[in-house]
Amino acid sequence: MKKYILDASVILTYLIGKNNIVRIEFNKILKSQKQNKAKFFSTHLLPKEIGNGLRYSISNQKLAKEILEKSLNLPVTYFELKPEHYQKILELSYKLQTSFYDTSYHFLAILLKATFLTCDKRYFQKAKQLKHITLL
Amino acid sequence: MNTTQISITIPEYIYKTLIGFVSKGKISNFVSQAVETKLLEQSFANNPIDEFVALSKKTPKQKQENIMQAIKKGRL
Repeated sequence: MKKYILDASVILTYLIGKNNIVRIEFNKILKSQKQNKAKFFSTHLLPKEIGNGLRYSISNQKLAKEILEKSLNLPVTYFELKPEHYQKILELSYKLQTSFYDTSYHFLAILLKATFLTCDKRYFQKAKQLKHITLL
Repeated sequence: MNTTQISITIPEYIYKTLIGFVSKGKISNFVSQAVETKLLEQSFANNPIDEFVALSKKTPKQKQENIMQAIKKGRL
């Protein structure tokens, strides 16, 4: 079974982005999840980042709440990172010159031998050398 | 309960089976219950992924840069 780490950029680009390629590619992964061929994971940062993304991109509060609800209903397992994991994330974020937030998703992908799915081109360019990452 | 009169077309064999089960005066009630059961089954059949996909088809779309800026806005 394939394991994927989801960040807010994938969820929000799929739901409210203009990029149809992301929708097509993520549809395939959603389908494989429904067939029990894939499993989704993330960090506890995900709900906060989706919420923040909605807060500053959508003025219609009712729609934003619906998007948050449907996003948080997705079958995602939230991984509990330990203090030693946070130390590793900090080291990696210094090394890659990336944010601690973005690096935490990627670290989880490396830890779980999974693939980090993101639509964040800047992060991808800085961190693709670590592998375990796919830019949608 | 408010009701609406509708006209439906069904295969003859279903109709014949139907009137074997219920009298002609009770067909509306029988069909109504059957439709309601089917609708409930379908609503329960919706799983979170289907709902997520369905939502993506009705939301207004915006530029990728806006989304990325919104996610990262206010990060310390």
